[in-house]
Amino acid sequence: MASAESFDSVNSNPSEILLACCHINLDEQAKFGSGWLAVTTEALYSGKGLLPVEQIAVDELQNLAQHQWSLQKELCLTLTTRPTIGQLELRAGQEVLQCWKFSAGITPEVVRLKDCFETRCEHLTHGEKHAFNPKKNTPVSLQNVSKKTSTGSLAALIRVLRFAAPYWWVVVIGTLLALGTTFASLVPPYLTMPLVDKVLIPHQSGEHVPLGIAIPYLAGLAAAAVVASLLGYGRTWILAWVSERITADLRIRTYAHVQSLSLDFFATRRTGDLISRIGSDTERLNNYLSISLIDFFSNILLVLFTAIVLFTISPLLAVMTLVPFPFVIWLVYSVRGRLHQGFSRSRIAWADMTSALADTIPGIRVVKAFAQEEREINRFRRANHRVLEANDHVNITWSYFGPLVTLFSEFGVLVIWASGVWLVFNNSVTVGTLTAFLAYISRFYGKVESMVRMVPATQRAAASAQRICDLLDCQPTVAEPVTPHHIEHVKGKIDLQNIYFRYGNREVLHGISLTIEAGEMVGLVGTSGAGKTTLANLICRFHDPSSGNISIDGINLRALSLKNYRGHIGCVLQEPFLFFGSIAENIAYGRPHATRGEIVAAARAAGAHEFILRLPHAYDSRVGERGAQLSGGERQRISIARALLVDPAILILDEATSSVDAETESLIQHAIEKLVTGRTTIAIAHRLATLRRADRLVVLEHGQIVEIGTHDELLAIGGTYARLYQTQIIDNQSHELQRTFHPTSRFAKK
Amino acid sequence: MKLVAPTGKHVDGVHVVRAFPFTAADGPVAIVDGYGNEIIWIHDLGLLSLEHQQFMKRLLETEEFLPRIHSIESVSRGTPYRWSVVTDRGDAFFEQASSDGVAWHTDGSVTITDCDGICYLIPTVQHLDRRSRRLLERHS
Ligand SMILES: Nc1ncnc2c1ncn2[C@@H]1O[C@H](COP(=O)(O)OP(=O)(O)OP(=O)(O)O)[C@@H](O)[C@H]1O
Ligand SMILES: [Mg+2]
Repeated sequence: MASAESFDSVNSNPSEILLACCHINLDEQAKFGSGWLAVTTEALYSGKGLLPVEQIAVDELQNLAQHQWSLQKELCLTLTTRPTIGQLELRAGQEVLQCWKFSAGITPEVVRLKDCFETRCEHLTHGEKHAFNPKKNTPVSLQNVSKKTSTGSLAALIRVLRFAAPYWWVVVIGTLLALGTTFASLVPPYLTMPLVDKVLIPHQSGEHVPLGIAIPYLAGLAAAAVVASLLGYGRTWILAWVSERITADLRIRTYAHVQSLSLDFFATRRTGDLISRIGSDTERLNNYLSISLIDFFSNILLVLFTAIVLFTISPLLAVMTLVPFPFVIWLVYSVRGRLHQGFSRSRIAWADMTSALADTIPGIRVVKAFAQEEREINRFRRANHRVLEANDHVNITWSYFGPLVTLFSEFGVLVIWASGVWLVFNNSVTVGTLTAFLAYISRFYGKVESMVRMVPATQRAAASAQRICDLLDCQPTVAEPVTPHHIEHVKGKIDLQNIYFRYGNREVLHGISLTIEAGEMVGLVGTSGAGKTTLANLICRFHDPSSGNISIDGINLRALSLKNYRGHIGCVLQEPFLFFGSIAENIAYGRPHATRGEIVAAARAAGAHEFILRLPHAYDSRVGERGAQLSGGERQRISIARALLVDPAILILDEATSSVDAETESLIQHAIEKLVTGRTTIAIAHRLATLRRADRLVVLEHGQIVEIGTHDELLAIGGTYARLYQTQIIDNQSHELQRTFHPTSRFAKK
Repeated sequence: MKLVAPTGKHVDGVHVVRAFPFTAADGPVAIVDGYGNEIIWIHDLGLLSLEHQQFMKRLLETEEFLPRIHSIESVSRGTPYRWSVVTDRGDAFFEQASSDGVAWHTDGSVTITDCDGICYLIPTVQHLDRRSRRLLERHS
């Protein structure tokens, strides 16, 4: 298609301003291709390829554009989005002028462009051509590509090493000790040189040498050995001490960072993977730091000093020692990448195995209920086998690596022997020199060898460091504001303005507007999957809406300090979760310093007091992980008590009493009613009887509010609510449970 | 899209959904309305006439986007991983924040999810060439 086909040509207009642009990543057949769309104050442009800069000038845009349509009221954009693909059509009346396809990932950008287009078209049709304020509509940035630069694994390791900074003085002491050890270990060969040349050789060749001459040398040797081992002890201990601290810091930093991340992070990550990153990857780093890294530095020093000594003794021999070096370097180079991959795979296999555990052990009831133990064992066996395979794979590489390095150093010693013999025969060096040289050379190669052996250890640590840095690089999507606003007393007026929300690419709330007055009790009803929990999550600020605003007492939620705000809300989640610990601890979770009296009062209000007293150790009973020792309804009541104890200004009850029998529910309701006064309450329930005390009921359907009103009003309308109510009434009548709907018979059975 | 049901009923805004887009792409397909309520269930696409099959395939092409990877050209080292792949929808480049998006399924297929949430499918890992397989293994 050529631009001649354009709907209307546009004259260049100096006041034309770019409003929005976005990339289009598919072509007409929904194959990968690149194109772009841009809306200015005057026209819609489209073209192929990538737009070269982020904020492009309008005239440049016009040059690059293949199509352009000047904005007018007949033009309209229609957007169809599917879970994975979207389509945008430009129409003039019934005629489709152009159609663009894109993958769901860029839907938000397209939506933004479409909004700009529509707002602008509206302005134009209402003749407010110049009333447009472009400052409010800054263009969307084109590239959605993350700005994060690629980080290699060694960079990750260095980053992790920065955790050593607070302990620099210990590291300095450690290094000094290492230096001392190095010096001390260099002394003995130096003493053997005169011992051979001045004592042994003269004696053997018949000269009279008093034995006493040897004593200082021997004493020196002994002293050097003792000093070296003492210093070595200090060094090892100090370095182990510091590396434990570095990794402990790293572990807590990583864990604290993970805690700061938003819920959507946890929705996609596997628990086992996180556990293995925080737990075993940091431990691997610890091993590396305490054993390998410190040795590396002292080894470098030793190699340097030995080299200097070697050159002072005999430059000729010293040069000979360098012969095997090119081989060693080649070996290191060739094996590095392979080792890194191997270790990464091994770490991932390990994480998979942990995941298999973290997945099935909490789900053990289901496993047993369906008699799938065998299959889970097999699943674990497979994961275990993958760990084995990955480790075998990398072990092959690094086990040949070590001996090969040894071979090279043996070869180096051989070179020295050969050239040494030759030089002694030529009288170029003395036997003593050669002996000392050989003593040094074995040390030298020993150290070179262990430095080279560092390569696998470094790669292993780098793989772990990278996995930790991956975590540290994740940013919370629900961010604490830069200058957080603290509120002391929340009245509890909640204002939702045109809220849209999507999980990934899937929009589940489509334009929710609702004002909840302070102290009001609002009931949220609607079919399963309508978005009730999602809406409650937005009010708790577990997620931020994709567009629209939520404000509390007139303050935007995004401006509030997260911690401060959450302190004012009490949540009973749809899936009650109890922590390992006692009942009292679980109830006091949100307020750890609550008195026993307060805990009991909260439990009473939640209708939990009596069943708690029936437990073997009452409030001190342990509930097992996730509250495994309690019934579903009991767990729910404990989580209600937990929410009530924080004395929140805003109470959110998401199916809080769904697993409780109607009678107990009624009791809880009655108790809550007293507490509810003066608090804003949002109650979600399928059992409509639960909500009979609500001031207003809000009916959600497919992510939209369809009805708002009191129970009677909604029944009168005869819409969705009336339908839901009727079905429940009929169900209940047939189950003779209808009495729960009549307040008079609430306590009939009592 | 508009559907005229055999009963003569007209339904606007219908969509076609594969029931098993990964594991049985040619298997069951549902026709649903705008809210996702099922209108028609086609148990097996293969049972339709060839002409209808073609029609459905064409529809599905614009109804879902699930590129199938034929081969992997390159993957960058370090995060974010930059993948370059050849798919049935053409050559693609994508970024991935961590190796977490690569999922190995028990049936021998692998899905790679990029940072935009697009899912790339490798139906059978065994059918990949050696190089691609190595690259994949390195990054998962
Ligand atoms: N973490 C998530 N990621 C992706 N989609 C989600 C997520 N949580 C919920 N959804 C989807 O969002 C929609 C609304 O979910 P929500 O939990 O808000 O429903 P609900 O109204 O509380 O339903 P119910 O009455 O069954 O609890 C559902 O279609 C669900 O599949
Ligand atoms: Mg829910």
